[in-house]
Amino acid sequence: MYKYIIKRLLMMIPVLLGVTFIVFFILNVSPGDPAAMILGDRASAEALAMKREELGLNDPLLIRYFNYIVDMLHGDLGTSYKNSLSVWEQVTERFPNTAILALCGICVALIIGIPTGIISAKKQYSIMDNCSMVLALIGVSMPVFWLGLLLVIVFSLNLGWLPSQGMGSGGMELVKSLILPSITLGTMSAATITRMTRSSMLEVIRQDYISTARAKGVSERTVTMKHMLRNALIPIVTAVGLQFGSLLGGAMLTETVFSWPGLGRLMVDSIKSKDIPMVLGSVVFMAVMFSVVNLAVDIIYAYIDPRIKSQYKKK
Amino acid sequence: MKKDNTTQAQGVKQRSLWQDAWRRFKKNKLAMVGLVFLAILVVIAVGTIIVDLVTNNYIYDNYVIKQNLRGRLEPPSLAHPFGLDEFGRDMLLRMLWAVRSSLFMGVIAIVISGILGGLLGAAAGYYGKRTDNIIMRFMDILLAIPSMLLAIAIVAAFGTSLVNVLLAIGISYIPTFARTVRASIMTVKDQEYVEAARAVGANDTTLIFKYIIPNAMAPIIVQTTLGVAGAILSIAGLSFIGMGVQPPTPEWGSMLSSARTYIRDSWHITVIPGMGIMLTILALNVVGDGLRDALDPRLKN
Amino acid sequence: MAENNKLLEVKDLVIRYETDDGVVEALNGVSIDIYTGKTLGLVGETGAGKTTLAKGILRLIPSPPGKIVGGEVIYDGKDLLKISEEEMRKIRGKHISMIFQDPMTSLNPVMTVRDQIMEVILQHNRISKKEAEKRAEDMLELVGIPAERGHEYPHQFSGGMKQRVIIAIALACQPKLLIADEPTTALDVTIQAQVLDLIQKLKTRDNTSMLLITHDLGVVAQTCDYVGIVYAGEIVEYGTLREVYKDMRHPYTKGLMASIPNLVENVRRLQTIEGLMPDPTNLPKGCKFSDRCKYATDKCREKVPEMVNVGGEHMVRCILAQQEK
Repeated sequence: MYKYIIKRLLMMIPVLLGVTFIVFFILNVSPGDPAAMILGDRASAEALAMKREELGLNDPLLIRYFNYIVDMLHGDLGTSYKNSLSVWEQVTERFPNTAILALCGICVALIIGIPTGIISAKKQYSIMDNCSMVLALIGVSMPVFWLGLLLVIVFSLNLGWLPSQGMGSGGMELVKSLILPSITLGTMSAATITRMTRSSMLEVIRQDYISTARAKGVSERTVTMKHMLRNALIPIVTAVGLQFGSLLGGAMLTETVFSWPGLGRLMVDSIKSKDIPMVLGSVVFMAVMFSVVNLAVDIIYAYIDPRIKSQYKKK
Repeated sequence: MKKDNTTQAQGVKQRSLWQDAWRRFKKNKLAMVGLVFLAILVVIAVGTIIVDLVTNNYIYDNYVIKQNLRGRLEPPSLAHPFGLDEFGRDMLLRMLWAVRSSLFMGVIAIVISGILGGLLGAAAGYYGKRTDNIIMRFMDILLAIPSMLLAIAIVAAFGTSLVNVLLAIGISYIPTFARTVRASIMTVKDQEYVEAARAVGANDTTLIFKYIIPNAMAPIIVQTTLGVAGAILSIAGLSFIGMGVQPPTPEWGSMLSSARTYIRDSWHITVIPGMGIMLTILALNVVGDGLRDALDPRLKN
Repeated sequence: MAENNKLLEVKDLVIRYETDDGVVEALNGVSIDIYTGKTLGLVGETGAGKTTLAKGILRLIPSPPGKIVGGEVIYDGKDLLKISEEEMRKIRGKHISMIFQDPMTSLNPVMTVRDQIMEVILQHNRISKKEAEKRAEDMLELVGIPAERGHEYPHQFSGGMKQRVIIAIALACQPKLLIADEPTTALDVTIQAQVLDLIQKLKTRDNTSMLLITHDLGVVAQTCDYVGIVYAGEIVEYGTLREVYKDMRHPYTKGLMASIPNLVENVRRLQTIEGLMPDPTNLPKGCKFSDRCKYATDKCREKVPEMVNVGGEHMVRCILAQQEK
């Protein structure tokens, strides 16, 4: 089994290099002179040239990329153009806020999505199935930020139950401030996972081994949980992994709506102020996180699908 | 066994396949409603363009974007069924004029990625081996960047012009298309009937046009519909964080963005644009699902 | 045959599938008797309704679209179609078990084979996990698989081995009746004989009755005591192996027999039955075989012929047989 994990880890390296390179490339061929941005419009030509040299902007792109990676491995993502703060510090300070939001979002999605999907598949074409499918369709069609705004209107402004802005510090305050953003972020994934679970279950329900299991005389509950779900989970896990990607995208929007002090908002703010190192740092950081999540998904995958597990046991 | 027969029939009897699909699609009431809704949107989009051409942008300039501070945030009434926005502009007109940005930008972005991704995927699937490896590894890398992040990076680097937004969204959907096309080509390629065609001397072009493309069409059409939905959502999202369509041009995402400031004062300017996005996406999703069921009856149930 | 030896009795079973394309009349009043320790072979073409009958007995018809419209399945004095799902579960796997057609897809891919055998044992016996494990391993050995392979997953076994595992599952609780739905069709010819022998051996050991579904008349001749010929959801001929094979009456049975290659006589071309099975959503009004039967008359097309006894236990559903009598 650990051979498989090592193999996936090794496979992650070229992907990460590729990802960082693409983002680095895009953000470094952009028009505009960073030196001018740091020093302002009234800086002399000499000062600009010196700043450019200092930033290493005169080196070829590949050399700069190489340096960037080496620095990154030392925990250095450069300094912000805007306020000369360390990008690494800013990003790692904000990251836990996004992580907790994303985690709660995915929990909302799983808690709603998987049971609803199972029930829908088991009672295909029932009222319950039709209702949840319509709701799921609405869920996947609803813009994240709009849902956020609607929730704010209802639960913060009209009912006054929950805060609409910011992140509460510690305990109940934190939990309360998490509720609306988590639902906002998790709804679309919940809908996707519901649909995915349903179709995956429907595929499994018709398999011959389900008839075998029923012919053994085991209860319908056991058939569902032990035989159907175990098999249906395999594609669901992949879907959940991929959902995490759109969740990160959604996190930016959700954080904007709720003024949540996360990585997404840092990124949006940095783009507005054209703070390239900060944008680069946060995009790279998020992309790395996404890759790590996908690695985790691959490993879980191997645990629940013996066909992969045994492939690596023999070798 | 059953599976082989169906795919075979697809290769041999294309016309009846499409007719069959349409017959099945028509049965799906929800999908038909979606289709009608989309048709209405297209009519609105084209209609507003014609109106602008005929009136030389008179309505657009004087009613859609011109600010009128007297009736700010006026709630829906008979005269203004959707109310007035924060600058006293008629929400109904702005909603109608916004259709074209979303619809056309979504379609163009997906056409870009459909063509590029489709070609890459086709090359990978058809030629296999090294070509496949190189292309698909590159796609894996692109796929490892969440699409919204990639789009944001592109817009951040090159500025918030219309072309950049389209490019950003378009590029971020390339891997999805490449994968879809590659997968369907791989499955078709090794089918026995394609081998049989090859055995009786069909060349690459014949194979590609006669067997592979018709068979790969179904998933591509479905992917396109769902892709347009995703693209419209992404464009709205970008506009919402101020990186897409810029005000005063009417666009649902940017309308929501400015509505946010007045969320305490009036609900209609928040609810209405979101409704527009949601219904459009809903229609596209419903049609996409309907198409999938209609084109590939095996997948249903 | 004495009435008290009757293990299972199916009376006038009618099963339909309600699909988008119409109502599929899969089973149209089938009656069969299965006697203790004996094997009944059901022969017929693909789509004749044999599997539906098998699944119908165990109430495993997927519903919707399947629906048991009428009839009785009497086992141990009870109508299995009327008892609760709870009671039915106690029958499945313990009293009546089933072997499915395709061993490649009939085992759960994410469970070890030992766990899959243990599941049925634990379901019907109050024993510890340890004991169940032991019994499962014994079962594996019994079907010719080394016990230590029990912790492997189905994909690590060949088709024939998988079918052995499925047999082990089916017989783990020593059921009274084994329903085998084309147990060898998906296997290589060389493996087929082995698997049949194995079933035969275990069946004799426990005096198990068997309902064997097949389209292979050779298999029937080897293993069965009784034969039923199924056509379009009806039994068209029924009797002991000897009665049916020596004195076939129904034109369809004759056609089936003629289509078997005969090595003794030098035949240049195999006989075939003209035409196809009728569309089950749109069955002929009279005798279902009338469209393909060269002896068919207008009378055949009017009304479904009754089953008539033509001597001994031999029954035939054909006007010609009635007249001969």
